[in-house]
Amino acid sequence: MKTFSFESIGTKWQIDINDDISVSKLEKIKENVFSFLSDFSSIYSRFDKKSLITKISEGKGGKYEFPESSKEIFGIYSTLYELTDGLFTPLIGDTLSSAGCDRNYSLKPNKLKHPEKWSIMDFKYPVLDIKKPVTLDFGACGKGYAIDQIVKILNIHKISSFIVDGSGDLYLKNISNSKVGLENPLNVRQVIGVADVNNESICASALNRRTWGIYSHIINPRTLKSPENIIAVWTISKKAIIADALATALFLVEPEKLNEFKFEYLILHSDFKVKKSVKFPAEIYYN
Amino acid sequence: MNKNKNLTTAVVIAAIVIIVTVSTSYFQKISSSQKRVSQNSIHRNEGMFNMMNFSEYKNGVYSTNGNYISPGGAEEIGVTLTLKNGIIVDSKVEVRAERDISVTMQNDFAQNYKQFVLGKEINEINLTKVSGSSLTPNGFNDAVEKIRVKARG
Repeated sequence: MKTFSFESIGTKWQIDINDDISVSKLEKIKENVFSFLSDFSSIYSRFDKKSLITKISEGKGGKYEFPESSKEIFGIYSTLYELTDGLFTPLIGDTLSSAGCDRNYSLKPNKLKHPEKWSIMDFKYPVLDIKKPVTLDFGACGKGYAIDQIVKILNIHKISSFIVDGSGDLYLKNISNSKVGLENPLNVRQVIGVADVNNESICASALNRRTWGIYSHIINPRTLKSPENIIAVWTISKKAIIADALATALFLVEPEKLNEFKFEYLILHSDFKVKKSVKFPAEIYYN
Repeated sequence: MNKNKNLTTAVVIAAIVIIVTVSTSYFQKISSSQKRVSQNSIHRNEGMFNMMNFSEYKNGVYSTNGNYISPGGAEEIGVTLTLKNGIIVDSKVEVRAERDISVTMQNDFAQNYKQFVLGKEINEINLTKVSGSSLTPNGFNDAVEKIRVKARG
């Protein structure tokens, strides 16, 4: 097995390749992956001082051109914005920043603002027309999109068996009888169960670590509070962008609202009660 | 029978140690938010239940009352465990304290202990991967570390 690890878009990555490949092929794969991630960050990261998103937040509104990736990313945000009555929104950026989750990670909460409505912007690929400067945040599915693109790169290179690990959000290709531990968010030396995931993605969203004061990285735009009744969500889907986005959406709405997506879920409530879809492929170590 | 007794004694001792730790840190950090304090204090006892090996025990439901001496005098707590293949799959704590402060401590314990009881230690299982969010963005970890250094003064 060949493994390479690196840091990008603010998180740690590890890619395990089970195929027997040459060093030069591995180098080529690395090059493609790094080049994709660097392009991606230069557009969508609100933590990158030179990104397009930063430029929009510091501008005066107007028209901005996006690359092809925006079709899928804006697409999923607009679908989920509708399904969640505006709770799942890329316009949450300024709210997160004012809560302290800003570019410098000051973690000092100021008075929180409700996010702007979607109607202040109009996206028709490739142009985003926006009425005023706002901080867009694509954090709810950006990593998922990146995982899918890395999977695509590995497929182009005809790698038959691999795992893409973006710090606990995963895609597994041809890994039979996999045992993916579901980390106990309140005691990370433990898992609450084990899932068998293959040829699909499993993503997690938990409120354990990225929490400061009363806020976490998820804030409900209506109540301006972080969810308290749920401590972790796992989602499984063929595409990582969907698994990733729904792992956040499930903190905000009931699973039944998201029926138009094909996915499995497991929700861990703060009293440690579990709610999961019938086919979520996991053994849970308690009731 | 003897085994059952050992098991329940061990659990009750663990429960009491956690209650005592929780209560101590309450007095130390009375101004901090309740949630934080109880989480931090319980973290020190992380894995306590898991150090106990239940693999020799038969599947079933085990109940007992635990007696301990609080700073104010004798108190009691009820503990029920459900074992399956050597793992605690369910548990219940019954608050039986008489003194107000002990009732508070036992309630706090009852609300927070589950995370340490249910589940399995990662190093006990051969896992392909772990899915979770403990490996969070580096920027956040850095910021927390800086705040920690600052807080130490």
